[in-house]
Amino acid sequence: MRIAAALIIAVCCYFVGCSFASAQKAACERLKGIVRLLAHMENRMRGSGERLTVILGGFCDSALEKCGFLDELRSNNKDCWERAARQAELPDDCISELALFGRSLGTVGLDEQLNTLESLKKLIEAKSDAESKGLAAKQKSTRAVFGLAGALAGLLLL
Amino acid sequence: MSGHSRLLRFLPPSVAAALASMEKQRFLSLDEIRLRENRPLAATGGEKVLFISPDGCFCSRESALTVSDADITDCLRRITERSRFSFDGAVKQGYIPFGNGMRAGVCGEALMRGESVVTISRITSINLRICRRVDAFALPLAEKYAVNGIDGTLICAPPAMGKTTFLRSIIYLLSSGVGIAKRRVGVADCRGELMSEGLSLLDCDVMSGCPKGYALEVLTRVMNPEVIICDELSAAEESAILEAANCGVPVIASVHAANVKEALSRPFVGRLCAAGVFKTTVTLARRNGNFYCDIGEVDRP
Repeated sequence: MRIAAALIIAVCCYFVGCSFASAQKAACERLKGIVRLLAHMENRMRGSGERLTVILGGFCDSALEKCGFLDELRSNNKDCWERAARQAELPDDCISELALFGRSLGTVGLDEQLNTLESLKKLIEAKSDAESKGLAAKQKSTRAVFGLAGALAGLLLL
Repeated sequence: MSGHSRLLRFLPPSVAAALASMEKQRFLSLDEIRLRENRPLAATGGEKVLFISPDGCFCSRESALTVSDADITDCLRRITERSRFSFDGAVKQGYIPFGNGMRAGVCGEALMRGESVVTISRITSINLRICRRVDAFALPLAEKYAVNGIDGTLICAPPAMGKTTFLRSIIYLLSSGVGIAKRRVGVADCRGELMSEGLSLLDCDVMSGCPKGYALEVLTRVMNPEVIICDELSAAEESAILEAANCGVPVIASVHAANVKEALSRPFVGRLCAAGVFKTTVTLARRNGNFYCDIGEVDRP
């Protein structure tokens, strides 16, 4: 009975570790999704001169759809960018940058808008690159730590 | 929904509230709403400049509602649908088309690059023009066309006398065959003002968002129109108008001028009339809020 309980604890801990690891991956995917969104906005603003609602309506990204980021943006409310960034649980520095961008979005001419878009894209891209670089190792160690913690708890129970 | 009530959703809340509480007849008599940064809320009705109080009454300048810079930003956000970047070309020329046929004139601090204007970087004044539709306004002209055939027509009037309203009316009458047999109408609507208030559903061909000269050229060349209609002629369109007329397509166009004589004193109008492009003239007037048109003929030397 004790052996079974110890095994269950070890396995559960390992799976908790796996879910933490996939949450880390999802966070990284969301950053990549935002970079894709900003690139899409840049292309459409430059090429077609469409309105923001049309630009956002024409963008799909599973990572951003899942976390509700795009739904929040499409509401086109005041501060929707800040709320969307919070909803997506992005890092604090990204939230403040996106909030700042959202407040100026649509209030300036094309050149200025493209400049702010470009600098925000670079910033998020750098953040996303940094996150994805160590992601595999980070995921591996998270799974290992949780797995080992589970095994230790199992051993103590025995 | 009339242009007046549609306008309210493009205004900042304080201004919209003032206008919404205004007596309906007074509100309907307004032609323009003027928002100037840190200045009193003003409107134009006919030729009068009127100030509006927070509770929607006409008042003195001192007791009028003051428009803040935040109100200007809010109004711009609303009329551009938070997409100022997609109106760069229009803003550069001092206007923003919005709400299906309405137009806001804008001015402020221009941003220059070398000799050319890049955009108006800080907008401090917005003049929201309210579009009207008076379908029968151009009926006397349509009836004249029914008898004599369509010929080149010059519509002369000073600003706010109903030139665009008259053109909307003639577009409606010719495309739907009211007072005259239905015609193939081409519309050069470069500022997106003519095809409003349900006119976009009419059977006519519209070129918009481009210079009038280009629109006239394309319409003449590829759409085989029986008549082309365009707003506010300038010297830049002279050759395109001539080309259309030489192809046998009459042009109905408006021009800023108090009367025909004043219009003819503008060199390019004089040359076009001398070349026989315009044979009919229409002078517009407005008395007690009603529109009147006077149809005449160009005196050729």
